[in-house]
Amino acid sequence: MTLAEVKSIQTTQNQSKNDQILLEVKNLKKYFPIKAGVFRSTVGWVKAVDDVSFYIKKGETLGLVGESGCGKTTVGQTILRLIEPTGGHVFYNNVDLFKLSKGQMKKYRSKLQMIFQDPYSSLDPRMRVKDIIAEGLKAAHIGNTKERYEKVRDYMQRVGVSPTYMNRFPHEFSGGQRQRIGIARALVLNPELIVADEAVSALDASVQAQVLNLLDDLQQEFHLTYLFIAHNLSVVRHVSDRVVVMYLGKVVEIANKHEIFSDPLHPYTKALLSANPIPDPTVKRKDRIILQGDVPSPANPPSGCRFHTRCWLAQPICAQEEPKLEEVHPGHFVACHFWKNLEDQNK
Amino acid sequence: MAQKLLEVKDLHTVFHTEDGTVEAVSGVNFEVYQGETLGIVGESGCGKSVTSLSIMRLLPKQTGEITKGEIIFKGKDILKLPENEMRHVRGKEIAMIFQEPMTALNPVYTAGEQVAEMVELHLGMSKKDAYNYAVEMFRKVGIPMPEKRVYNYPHELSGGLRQRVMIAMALSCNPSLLIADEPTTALDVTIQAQVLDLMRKLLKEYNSSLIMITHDLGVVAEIAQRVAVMYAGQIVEYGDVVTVFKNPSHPYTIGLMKAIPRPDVEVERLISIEGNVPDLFHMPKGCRFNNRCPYAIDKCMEMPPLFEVEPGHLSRCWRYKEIKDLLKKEDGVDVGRG
Repeated sequence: MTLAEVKSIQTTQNQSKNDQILLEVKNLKKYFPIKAGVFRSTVGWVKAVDDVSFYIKKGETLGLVGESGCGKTTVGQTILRLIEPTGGHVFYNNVDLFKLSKGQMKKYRSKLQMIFQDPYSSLDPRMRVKDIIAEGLKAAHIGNTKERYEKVRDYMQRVGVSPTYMNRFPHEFSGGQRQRIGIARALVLNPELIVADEAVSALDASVQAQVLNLLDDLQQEFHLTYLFIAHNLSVVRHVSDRVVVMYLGKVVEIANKHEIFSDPLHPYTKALLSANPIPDPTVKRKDRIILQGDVPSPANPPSGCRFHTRCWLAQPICAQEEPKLEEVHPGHFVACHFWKNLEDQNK
Repeated sequence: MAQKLLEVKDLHTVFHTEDGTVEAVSGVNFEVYQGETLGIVGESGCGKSVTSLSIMRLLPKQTGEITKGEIIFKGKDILKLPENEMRHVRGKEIAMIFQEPMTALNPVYTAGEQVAEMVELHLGMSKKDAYNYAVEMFRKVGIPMPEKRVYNYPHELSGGLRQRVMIAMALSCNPSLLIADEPTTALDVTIQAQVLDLMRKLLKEYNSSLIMITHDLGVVAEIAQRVAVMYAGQIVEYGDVVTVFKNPSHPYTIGLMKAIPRPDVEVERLISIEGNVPDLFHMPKGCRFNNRCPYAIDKCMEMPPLFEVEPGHLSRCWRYKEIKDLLKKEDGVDVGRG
């Protein structure tokens, strides 16, 4: 039995013991207005996130993957109400976050934290590192200045940045160290859920591995739940327990990672996997799928199934009727009229 | 064996900055044969882009300078050419594809005009012929409705289409050597697959050679026949792609391969390379990787030369012979994972 198999059995056992849902996203919608003319009147809507539903179990890492413009970042930001949603619900421990007032939301802010993509623009260049990390504590009125800096020291140590550097400014650190500082800033508030939006995409390969390992260690130590948003499938495969695949504002497939990677049931997922370059020149790709054309604009998405313009399995019905996200196997959701054909092909 | 098209010999490129002079490329040697693709792979700041700008002689005039070395292209040292002759080489004989097509294309000219300009200049075509030629090139690189697209400005095109325009522009004069600097890094993975597929097809058709500069080992594995791994301004490993991926013989190459998660294989934990890439002002003494290398010994305080591991496969490591045994002893992990 390989190590991966042992781990997969262990995770299933853990899951049956601990299937508590921490966060549930229901019919989430976020439309951005398109304004034009002298009076900036609204001429249309970009449906960045259109009726998205999924849940995150306590202690797991849920990967959210898709290409640029698919709405994955908007999902992350609306869950935390960094931008206000157009519709839907987000239940955190059975509390609907979208129904809370701004003041009530404040109480939940420390439990839901975010790590951003760009370690250069996500840290205020005029603040010292200790103040960047302590800012959340200050906003939440936790401790006095001395206690807060004590905590800063502690958490800098934990993420692997020497606390002797706490008086320095962000520009004095490398990209990897800055990302660690961003992680410390999120962690210091003792959160339950961390939304990591492309947290390692700006880092070089060798440093990326350091940060991924750190996130893994911290999850064990602090029992964290991650929503890990990324475009890189290899990274998502490495960190996630389950994976949500998005295309043009819609969820097209949800499954645990083993099923997503070995038995994808949505043609888009399959194409995405097939397009991912494998760092091994001797691997021969059979039936390589290269999608034609570009991702359509979310301001004017195709009718029916939004993927039908690029799909090699598309039939007339795909242009007319939008497929529903259905649970086709336990825990495996897919939104495609012809997922059965793909399943047969996979065999 | 195919003909040698380009040979870079002992290239040294420096930058004069306010804080002093730094060497970004320190003694790089490689060759490119007719019709082959050489991948140059490394992390940011390793000198891979500066190497390509040196070949094109496009270094910033005030600050960049090639202090030593030869770049032999078709038997001639192009570093010795006067600028006006170099201009005929650039674009016509050696063309470049840049990472960010939005900044590399001129925003005030239509996509078609920019391709037409190349052939007017280098092939002496008339304006009308050049326009028709541009339409033809657009069709060749798979741009839909080329008759219409030639009238579009770069901002009206998607990222994938812009990169196709760049490729059309680069190939328009049928150059013998293409240099592509991270051509697919800014693109989504499904679009990246399209562009790589197109490049592979066109290289075959034109029998052109390609230098593919990238940080992505996956891209190298897909498109290159030979690879040079760069670290801190030097080539640390060089050879045939299959050999280097299956039998990596420099600790940095090995580290990189263990550090990246793979789409096809699951590992429990990534093995990261400790520390950061050294900055150019504070290079470690001796081997430039010695401060991050798990196998460093006293000898590594001296700069190692490139040793020949097997014919055509070079490694800049004093312990290149033992490295495989060291790895096996360490964790029984199959390095190439193959």
